[in-house]
Amino acid sequence: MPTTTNTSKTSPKPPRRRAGPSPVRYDFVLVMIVATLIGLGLVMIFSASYVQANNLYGKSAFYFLRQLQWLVVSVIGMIVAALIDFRILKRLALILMALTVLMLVAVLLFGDKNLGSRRHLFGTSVQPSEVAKLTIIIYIAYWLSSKGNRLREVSVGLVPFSVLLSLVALLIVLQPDFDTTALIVMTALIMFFIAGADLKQLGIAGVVAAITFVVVVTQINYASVRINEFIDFLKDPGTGSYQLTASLQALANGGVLGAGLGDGTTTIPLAFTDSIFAVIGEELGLVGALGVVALFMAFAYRGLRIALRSNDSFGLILGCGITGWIALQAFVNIAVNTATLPFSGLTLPFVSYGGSSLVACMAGVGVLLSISRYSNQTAASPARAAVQPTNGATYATLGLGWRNWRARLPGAGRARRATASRRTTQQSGRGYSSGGSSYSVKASSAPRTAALSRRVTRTKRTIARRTGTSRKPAKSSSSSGTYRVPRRR
Amino acid sequence: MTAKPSPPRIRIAVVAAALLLAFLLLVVQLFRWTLFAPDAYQPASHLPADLASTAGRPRGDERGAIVDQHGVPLAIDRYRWEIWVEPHLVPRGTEAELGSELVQLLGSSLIISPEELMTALREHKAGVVTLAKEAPQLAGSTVDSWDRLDVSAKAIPVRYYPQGSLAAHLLGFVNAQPRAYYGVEEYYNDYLRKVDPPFLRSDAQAQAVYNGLPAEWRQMLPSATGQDLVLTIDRRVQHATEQVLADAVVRYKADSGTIIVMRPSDGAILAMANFPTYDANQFGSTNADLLLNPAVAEQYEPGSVFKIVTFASGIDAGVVTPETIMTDTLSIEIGDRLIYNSNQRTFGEVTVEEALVRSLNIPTAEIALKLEESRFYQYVRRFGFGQLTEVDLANESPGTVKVPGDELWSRSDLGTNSFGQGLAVTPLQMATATCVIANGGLLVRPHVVDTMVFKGKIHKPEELPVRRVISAKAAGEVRDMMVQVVEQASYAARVPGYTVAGKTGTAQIPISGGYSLTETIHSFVGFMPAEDPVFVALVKLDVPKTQPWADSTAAPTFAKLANELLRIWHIPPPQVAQKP
Repeated sequence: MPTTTNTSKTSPKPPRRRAGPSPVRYDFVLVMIVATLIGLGLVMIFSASYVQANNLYGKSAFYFLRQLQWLVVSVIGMIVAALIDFRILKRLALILMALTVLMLVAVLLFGDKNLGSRRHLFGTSVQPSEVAKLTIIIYIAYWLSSKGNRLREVSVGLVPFSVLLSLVALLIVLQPDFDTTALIVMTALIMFFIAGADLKQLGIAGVVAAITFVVVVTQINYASVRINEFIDFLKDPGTGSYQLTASLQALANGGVLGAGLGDGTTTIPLAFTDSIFAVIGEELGLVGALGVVALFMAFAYRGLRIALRSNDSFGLILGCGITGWIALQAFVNIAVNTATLPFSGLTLPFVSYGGSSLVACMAGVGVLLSISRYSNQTAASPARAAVQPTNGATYATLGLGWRNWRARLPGAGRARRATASRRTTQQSGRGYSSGGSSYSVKASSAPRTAALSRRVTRTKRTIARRTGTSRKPAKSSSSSGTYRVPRRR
Repeated sequence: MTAKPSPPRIRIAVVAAALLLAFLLLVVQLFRWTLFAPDAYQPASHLPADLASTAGRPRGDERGAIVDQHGVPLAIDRYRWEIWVEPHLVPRGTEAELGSELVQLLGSSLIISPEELMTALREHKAGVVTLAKEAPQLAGSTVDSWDRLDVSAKAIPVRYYPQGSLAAHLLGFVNAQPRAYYGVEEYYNDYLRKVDPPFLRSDAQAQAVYNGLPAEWRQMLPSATGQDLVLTIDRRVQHATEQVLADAVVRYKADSGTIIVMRPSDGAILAMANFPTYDANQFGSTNADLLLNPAVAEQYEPGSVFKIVTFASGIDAGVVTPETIMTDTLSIEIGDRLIYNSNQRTFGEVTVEEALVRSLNIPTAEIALKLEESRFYQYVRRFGFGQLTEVDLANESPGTVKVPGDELWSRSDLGTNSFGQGLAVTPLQMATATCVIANGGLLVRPHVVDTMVFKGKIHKPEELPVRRVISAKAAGEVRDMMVQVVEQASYAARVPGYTVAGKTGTAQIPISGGYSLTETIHSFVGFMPAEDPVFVALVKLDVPKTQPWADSTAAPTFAKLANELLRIWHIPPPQVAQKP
C-alpha cells in the first residue's frame, strides 16, 4: 500500500500545502461566478422580454417574475444537492437513471407537442431532457468509476459504454432533440476520456459518433436545413439565416460598449431564451459579451479544479462531467450566436430564460459544491486521490457487459491482472485503481471510519472554539483528520 | 493489457486546454462580429458620416426647418419675445418715463397691469419683474436695441407648424423644454438641434453656397441654424390624401384609418395620412392616444392583402405558376386547426390566378405548405415583415411574426399566416412589401427625408440599400394577377383609362380568446399604372360599419385617391400618352 509520503514524492508536482483548509470548504468562488451569471441573466431577461411580456400578458415583468420563481426552486435544489454527500449519488445513480429513462419514454408516449416536437411533460413546464442531462452524467460517472482500470478492456469499457450511450441518445433524439443528444454524447466522451479510456478506443468511439452524427443530421429535416443555411452563410457571410442575421446585427449594433440596458433596437427572435447572448452583446457591448465568456471560462476552471482535488474517482469523473456539460452548452450557445456553429436550441446556462434548464444547471452546481466540500482538499497529491478504490464496487452494478446483473466475483485470471496492475499503481504512485476483489471489503469500512473522523474533527473544533484557542491550531488539526480513508494513514 | 493510462491530472489538463481553445475561438469571433462585421450586419445610420457626430455640441433651443419637396415650410422656428425689468437697476428719476414707454410699446402683451408696473418701478423692487412672455416682434427688437442694463428682452424659439394638422403624425412635435417627440422631429433630433459655432445666414461666403439651392427651397432655406430637412412629402399630395381618408372614415363610419402613398422605385413616402389626427401647434391639448403615428407604430393583422406575399413567394420559389391547378376543398387541416375559405364555400379546381382573384384561403395555405416552414418564413422576412423597415421616423414597430422555434409558434400558424392572420404588420411594412411587386422584386427602404440641407449645402442621403426579394419575372406575374383581381373582383378600385393592380383584405380583429365576430379591418393595397407604377398606396380603414367587405370600402377609396393623385401629377392615361 502506498503511504502518504510515498505518494507525494512520486507525484509529478506536489501542490503547495495550505496552512489548513478554510472552515467551510464549499467552493465560494464557483458560487460567486454562478451568482453573477444568474444576476446578469435576470437583468437581461427583463430587458429582452418586457415588451413581449407586456404585449402578451399586459405585465412587463411576466417572464422576469416567472424566472424568479424558478430561481427560488433551483437555489433550493442547489443547496440540497450541496448539502448531500455526493458519494450517496453512487447509491442513487441506478434509480435516478431508471427514473430518467422512464421519464424520457413517458415524454415520447404522452408528451405535449410543442413546436413540432415532444419535449415537455405537464403542460410546457417540465422538460425532462434538461433534467436528464444531469442524471445521465451522474450515472455515467458512477458506471465509469466502478470499472477502474478494466475500463481499458474493450469488453468492459468500450462496448458496454457505447451500448449504454446509444440507448440514452436514441431516447432523446427521438423526441426529437438533436442538440441535447449531441451535447450528452460529447460530455460522455469527455468523461470516458477522463476516466482513463484507452485513446485508441476513444478515437474509434469518436469516429463512430461523428459518422452517426452526419447520418442523423441528414435524416432529420430541421437539422439539415440548419446545416445548409450555415454552409450558405460560410460561402457568403453577407447572407445569414433569419436568426443569425438578427444576432450578428445585434452584436454589430452593440459595438464595444453596447447600446445600454433596454436600449437594444434589433429584433431578435427568441431574444430571452436562445439568443440572450446576442442581447447582452447589443446592450452591454463587446465588454459585456467578453465578460460572459470570461465567467464561463472561470466556471470551467473552478469546476475542473474541484474535480481534480477530489479524492474519489467518482467525484473526479462526475465533476469533470458536470463542468464539461455546462461549459460545452455555454460554448455551443455562444458559438451559435457568433456564427461559429449552425443554429441549435441549446440555452445559455444560468442566463437564458427557462426553468428546467436553470434547475438542472443549479443542481449540477450543487453536486460540484458537494464534491468540493466532501473531498479532502489537503491531500498531499490531488492525483493520488484517484488511486483510491471506489466505494461503488460495494454496490450492485448494472453493467451492460457480459456480467450483466451478476455479482462481481473475482476470477483467477482477473485477480492476477488486478495484482499486476496494482503493482504498477504502487510503482508509479499514480494512475487508476485496479479492478478486483481486494478493495470491496476495505471500502465497506470507509464510510464508517470517515464518519468517525468527522465527528472527531467537529469535537476538536468545538473545543477550540469554547476554550478560545486560536483558530489556526483547530484548522491544522482538522486537516489531518477529515474524510481520510483509513488505509492512507 | 494496453499501455498505462495517463494520470487524471494530465487528462484534465487536456480537457481544460481544449475548452480554453474553444472559448478563445469565441473571443476571436466576438471581436470579428462586433468590430469588423460586414455591411449587411452594420446598424443602419441615417445621417451622413460627417453630420452624424453630435459630440461636444451644446444643446441649443433653435432647430432647423423642415420643408416639403417644393420648399413649403412644414415645421419652422418662430420667436416669442420675453421682456423683463429689474426695477432696482432703473436710474432714479427716469421711472415714470420708462414706465409709460414700456406700457405703450408692449400694449396688450403686457402681463401685469400698468399700475403694478409703475408701483414696482417707483419702489425699486429687487429682482426680476416679467412684463411680457409673447411680446410682438417690434417691441422685442426695440427693447433689445436699447441694450439697457435694467430692461431686457430675449427671443425664445418656439416650434411652429404653419400647415396646422397637415402631416402631423409624420412630423411629430417639440415641447417647451424643448424636447422632440415622434416622427421626423424625434428621429432627426440630433441633426435639427442648433450647433455651435452658429451658422451665419448673412455671411457672404455662406450665401454663395446656398445660392446653389433650388429656387423654390431658397424661400425658407437655409434657416437660422443651417441644419434643415427637405422631405419627400408633397404638400398637395398629402393634403389630398388626408381629405380622401377623412371622407372615407366618415362615409363608412370607420373608427380610424391610414393611407400611405409611396414611390415604388426608391421607397420615398409621398404622403402618409392618419385619421383622426391632431394639430401639432396644440399638442398639449391633444389626447395622448392620438400622438403615436399608427402608420409605423401600430400593428394589425393584415388579412387577405397578405396573400400577395404568399403567392409571390410560391411563384418565385417555383412551387406554383399562375396557371397551376389547385384543388379548393371545403376545409384543410394544418397543425391541429381546420382552415376554411372566408365564406365557407368551395370552388373545386381553380388556377392559382383564380384563387387570388377569389381570395381563397385554402389554395393560399396549400402554397405555404408547398413552401414549407423554412422557405415560407424566409420569404416573409425577406419581404420585410417582423423587422423594422428602418424608415426615418421615430417609434417604428417591427410587427410580430412568430417563426418556427418560437415558443408560441405552432404548425397551424403556417396555414393562417399565409393569408395574413396570426401575424401582425405595420401599415408601412405592408406598403413596402407591395412596392416589391410594383418595382419588379426589390425591397426598398421607405424614407421621408429627401435631402439634408446642411449650412446651405445639399447632402443627399447615402444610397439606400435595396435587396432583391423575388425575381422580376415572378413580380411581373403577381402584378398581372393583381390586375385581374381589380378587373374581375374589386371593381370599385378601377380607374377608367388606367390599369390598376391591387388586392383587398378584410381582416378579423383578434380579441382575447379568438377573433371578433363583428369588427374587421378593411384594407387595400394597389399600384398604378400597372405597366409602370408611379405610386403604391395602402388604404386601411379600421372597423367600418356600413359595409362588410373591403371591396366596397377600401377599394373605392383607393380609386378616389388615385383620381386625385393623377390630377395633381398630370399623368395621362397610357392610351393617350401613346398617341402622336
